[in-house]
Amino acid sequence: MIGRICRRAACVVGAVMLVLCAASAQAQDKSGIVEVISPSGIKAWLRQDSSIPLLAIDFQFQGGGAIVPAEKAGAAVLAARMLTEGAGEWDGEAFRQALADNAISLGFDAGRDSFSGGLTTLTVNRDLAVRLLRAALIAPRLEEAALRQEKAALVTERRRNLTRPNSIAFRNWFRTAFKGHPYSTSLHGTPESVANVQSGDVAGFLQNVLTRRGLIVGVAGDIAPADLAQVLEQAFGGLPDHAPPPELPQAAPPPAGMMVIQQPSQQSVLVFGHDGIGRDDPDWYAASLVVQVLGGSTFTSRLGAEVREKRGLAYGIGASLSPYKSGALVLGRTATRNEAAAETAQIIRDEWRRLAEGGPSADELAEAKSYLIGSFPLSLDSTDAIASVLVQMQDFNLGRDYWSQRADKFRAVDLAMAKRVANQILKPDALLFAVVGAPDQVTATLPAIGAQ
Amino acid sequence: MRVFRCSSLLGSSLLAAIALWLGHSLTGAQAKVFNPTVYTLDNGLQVVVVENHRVPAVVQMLWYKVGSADEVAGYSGLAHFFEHLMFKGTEKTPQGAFSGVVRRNGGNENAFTSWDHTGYYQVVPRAQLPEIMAMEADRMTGLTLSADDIETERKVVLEEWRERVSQNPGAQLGQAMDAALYQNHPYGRPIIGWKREIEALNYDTIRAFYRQHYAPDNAILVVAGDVDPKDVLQLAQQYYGPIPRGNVAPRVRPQEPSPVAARRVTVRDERVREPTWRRAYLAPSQNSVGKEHAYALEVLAQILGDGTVGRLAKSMVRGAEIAAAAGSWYDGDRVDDTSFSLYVVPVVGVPLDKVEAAVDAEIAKLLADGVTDAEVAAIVRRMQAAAVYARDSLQGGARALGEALANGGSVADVESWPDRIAAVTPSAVLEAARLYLRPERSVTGELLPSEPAS
Repeated sequence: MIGRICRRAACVVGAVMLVLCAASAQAQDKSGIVEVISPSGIKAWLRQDSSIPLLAIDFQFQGGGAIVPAEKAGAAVLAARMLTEGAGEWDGEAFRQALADNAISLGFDAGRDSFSGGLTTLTVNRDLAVRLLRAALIAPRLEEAALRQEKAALVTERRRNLTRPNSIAFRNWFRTAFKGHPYSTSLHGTPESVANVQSGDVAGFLQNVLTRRGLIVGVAGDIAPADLAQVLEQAFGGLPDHAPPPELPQAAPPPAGMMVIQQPSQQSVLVFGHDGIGRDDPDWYAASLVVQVLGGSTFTSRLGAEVREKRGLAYGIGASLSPYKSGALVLGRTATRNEAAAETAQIIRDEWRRLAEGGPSADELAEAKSYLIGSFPLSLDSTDAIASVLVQMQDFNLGRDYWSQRADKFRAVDLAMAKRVANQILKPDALLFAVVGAPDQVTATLPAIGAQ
Repeated sequence: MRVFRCSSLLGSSLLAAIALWLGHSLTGAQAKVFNPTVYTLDNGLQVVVVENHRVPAVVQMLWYKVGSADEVAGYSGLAHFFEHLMFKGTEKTPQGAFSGVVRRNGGNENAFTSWDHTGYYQVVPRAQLPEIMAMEADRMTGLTLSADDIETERKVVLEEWRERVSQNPGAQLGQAMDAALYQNHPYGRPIIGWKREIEALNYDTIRAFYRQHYAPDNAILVVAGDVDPKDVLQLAQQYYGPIPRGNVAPRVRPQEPSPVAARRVTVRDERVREPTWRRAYLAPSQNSVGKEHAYALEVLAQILGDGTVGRLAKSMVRGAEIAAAAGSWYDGDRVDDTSFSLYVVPVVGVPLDKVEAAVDAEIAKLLADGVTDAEVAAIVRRMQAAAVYARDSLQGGARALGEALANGGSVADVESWPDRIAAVTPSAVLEAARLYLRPERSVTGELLPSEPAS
């Protein structure tokens, strides 16, 4: 197989690929991930699987919504949407029609830390799909009429969100938690900030982030390494090579306290959390296990057992690690009837403290380990899912052997370590709550920004 | 936040209805891709096996042919409430033990209730299949329900109701529209039930429902993944085979009369900032009288209502710029008459009468001029491509086949789906549109802010 690819690569692309192909063959571990490098140096990780004639290309640029000034918040999201609104030889309608008629899925999205995209296509439409991707990246039309429509749609969305309890809760939580830091700004913006965005803002954002430096690519499915080298060149080779936006300063830990946002409602939404742990922290695996025990499953986690299974206080409850690069969090959410909001908040605090002080039991730790070890391979059941994991692995510098090493990293966490880390990362007295609804007997200790 | 034990309740929100439609187009398109192995045990349990050897994993789905539309009037929400109670444990498997096995192996599980079916599934490494099959078979008849279990779970279900319905004016509009669209059929009742009826469901009613509907001859077992069909059939025989038949009575439901009155419902809520416009037309499903039009209605839903290139999106989002989003979907996978639905999210400041006039103009144009060969050909090509995408997951085939069988269809219906879609002609689309997109078959729904205090 590899031999055939190398011969073909030698014919088609030349000597550069011959060398790279040999390197790929050596580097391939049992997960089957190879690194492919295009003639001009665009790198991607590939897991080839030709059992279904389709492929997925996921990619990510450094720099996201957090680099947009607050008064233009939403510009990154608009930029993502504008890339598929006409590019190169295709006007907006032709672009959308080409995607639809050929069953090509191409989309972009802005996160707080990064700007990402994904392409999924049948193998038979690969050439067209890659041409569309290239056009979107290097020749988006960014026409005024299209921007006006996208802005109108986003303003409408944002106005609808103003009264949604979950949105209000998270908005308040983030604004307060990251006060003074770019993370405090809503990624999607407010109706006013979206209205403020001009085409120059969108173009400027794209110029900033769309650079080969900081580009990460993960590919899965029906494509040979040699073909991928060409596809990478075609899709991304035309991008500039300037420095990506700098990383943001680290945020200060969120303040502790209780915010209450009154809204007429039969139920209160509770968002709760505090500072967390970075993905590159040596304690990451222990912390993942601890937070799994705390709030990983609505049925079996401590929060799930106490709040839902024993007392019927909520339909769902959970807490997890959110490793934002400049301000990692432990963050959770639930919703309960207004009369039970105070009790639920107290249970959350109590369970937080009990786990911080006593750590998980040996059984709990074993169960969390076997879940986190076993769930990973089961989650890789689609081409898109694999491509997306390949991007994350590179984003967090995990190494191509991560698939085979991952289980051992969890196994290496012993009970003493889990207890130490539980004590270190769970801070019941640092919890910041945002409660939205008409909760009984919940006293605010911090001012909220309110529904808007 | 993960949705637990109830995914089909999503049908109550607009967003989910769109998801349902998307899922549906994949559903049928899996035909001739999965080549399922099918078998029926002596006790009536249908067994369907779909091989997929890409990941060493397996999904077990057990579908019961009972949903909210099989509830007796006055007991709405029973099928869904019962779905929650199926996690309360049996004599052999105490509460939490089944979930524990799934989680210890890295798996996931969930359950869902719809109008026509209730389903339970687990995804696990293939080695665990016998274990979870034993447990799923065990709870078909072995639940030990206590009054306490029921009361605690009632609280959970009511929290779910608050979260999905009371907090969501859009869901309330959906329930109001269903109640108006189905004047006689139980599809008019929400899957999650009316709150006062959920509050009143009692132990005896719940036990009787279990005895009446949970039996092998009212169920479909679908196993998909890295398995050999022969092994699965043997396991099914071993674990499900000994359960006696329930002799479950066939479904007999009140049917919809021919509608004569265009209806309009309005929900006003102080939490609504931006209005929404919706319309539903009563239409045949793939399994009800008029089902020969189902395929044309699927094609029509895409021509008219694809979110990016459909006629509504082109004329209202791109052309006139009066909508932020506009589309349509057809919920064909039901036992009885179903709906063909349209939705519009207006851009800020555009009144609903202007939106409605624009939609009506599109429909009038459709009814006058029909659709083109090119439009139909493009949709057919897209749906056939979807067949390839549909193979790209563990659960896709299991869901498609399970749903078809649970809702009164057959494996052959699924198998021939791409051919039947390919056979749809522009004149068939026009005929279906003229038959079903009629004002007297429709309910128009408006979601509006509260009226200013006078």
